[in-house]
Amino acid sequence: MKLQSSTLIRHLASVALTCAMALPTLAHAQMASSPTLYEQLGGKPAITMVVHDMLANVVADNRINHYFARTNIPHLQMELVSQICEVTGGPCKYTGLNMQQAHKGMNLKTADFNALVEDLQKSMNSNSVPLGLQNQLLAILAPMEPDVVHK
Amino acid sequence: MEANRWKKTLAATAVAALGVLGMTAAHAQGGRLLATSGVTEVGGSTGGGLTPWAVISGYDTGDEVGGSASGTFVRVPNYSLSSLGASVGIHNRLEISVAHEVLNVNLGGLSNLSVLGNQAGGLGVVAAPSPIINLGNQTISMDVLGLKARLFGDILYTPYPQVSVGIKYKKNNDFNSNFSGLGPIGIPKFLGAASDSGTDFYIAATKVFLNGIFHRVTLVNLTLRGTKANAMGLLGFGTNSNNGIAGALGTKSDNSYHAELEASAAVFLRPDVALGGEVRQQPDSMKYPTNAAATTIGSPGTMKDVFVAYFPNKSMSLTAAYADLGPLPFQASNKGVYLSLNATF
Repeated sequence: MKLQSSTLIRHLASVALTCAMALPTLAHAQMASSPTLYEQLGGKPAITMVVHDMLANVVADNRINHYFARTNIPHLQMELVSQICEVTGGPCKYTGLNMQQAHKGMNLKTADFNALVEDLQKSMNSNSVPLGLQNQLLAILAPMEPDVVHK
Repeated sequence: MEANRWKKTLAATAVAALGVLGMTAAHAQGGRLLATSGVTEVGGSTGGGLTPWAVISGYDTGDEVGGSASGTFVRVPNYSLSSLGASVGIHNRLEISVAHEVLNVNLGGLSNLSVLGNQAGGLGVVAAPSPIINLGNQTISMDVLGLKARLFGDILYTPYPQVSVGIKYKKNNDFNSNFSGLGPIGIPKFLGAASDSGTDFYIAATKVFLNGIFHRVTLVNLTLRGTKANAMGLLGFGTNSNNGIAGALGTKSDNSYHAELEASAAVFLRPDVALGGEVRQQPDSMKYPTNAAATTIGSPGTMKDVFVAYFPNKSMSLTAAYADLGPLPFQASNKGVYLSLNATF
């Protein structure tokens, strides 16, 4: 599902060469070798850069920075990196609060959530994350919205 | 005259757009993401080019008010349609829209209509076997008032689609306009329409897949409409076998609602550029000649378009489309360019 086109072509070539071989085994090998979104994004160093720059955008964003006035930003960065690492298939375990607990009492609005998304998009653009990978990450994060707003 | 209409439409659009851009400068931009405003369909509602979507006007979320103004121009060989629309979205819940549409008919004088005049119930209104029907630079205007309410869902954030219901009241202003010396018979009535006004009801479901086709943001919309409108209402509502040439063409009286489907799909090649297509079914009770000699008969058919929409920022969007409006009176094929400028606040 997360094959890039060059990888896909290589796999198709290998399928052609070994078409007499057991197909289930091949399909399994293909799945095992397809890089996770975590790997495609560039692993922890690249995710850390994206989260770091996103939080810099957030702190400068007058629409929402007041929510972060008393936040320990380095700690939040660490939590977000491990959360994104986990949900993109990386070798991490997010140990922070769940999304409902983390935003309880903040009464966030959809507009606030969208502002954060825009700050993330800005960071992904400045870190040259390809659009296809951006959309895959956003598609994983977007369903959290109902757990974040109006809590 | 054609060029004048173009200029008038552009000028009016520019005025509307400037007004809204002026407001935008003073208004904090809404909290929705770029392009989630949609554009404006010809009837004034937020949607694609031809179909309303479940989306509520503007960029506002549950706690804000927004809206849009738009100007649209569609040009096919012997017809052109210009539409000015405005809408207000309240708390991403309710949308009120207005539109003024003008259809310009430029088929010239049609003299070879004996096929109609010679038949019972044909052009008996003028008691002539072969009158000249003047369809050169005629206009049909219509006003549309729309109301749309979001029932549930969010195009981006819920796993199920955003679903809205809407109604549209449409009033055709030229149902009885004497266009060809036939007395108080306008083009819609001449073609057999029963009424000058009608109300459409629709339900629309819209879903945006952030990780859609080719990992691109992909929008899908389905709309089910109950309507009596002929050619969106520009040719009136319902049919009456006693009106105009209806009898000669075998048009039956039909005052019932027709369920019609509309669908749109768009892929965002970039966050600010969408490429898509639409189809919109229409009732086909009305019959009319589809060539100037009146030797072939057709009905309103399915309209289609492919479009590119560009959203340079949250204040405006530009849509260009290639549209196929289906058979129109005295013209079987009606394909041409669609341009729309949308200002959002």
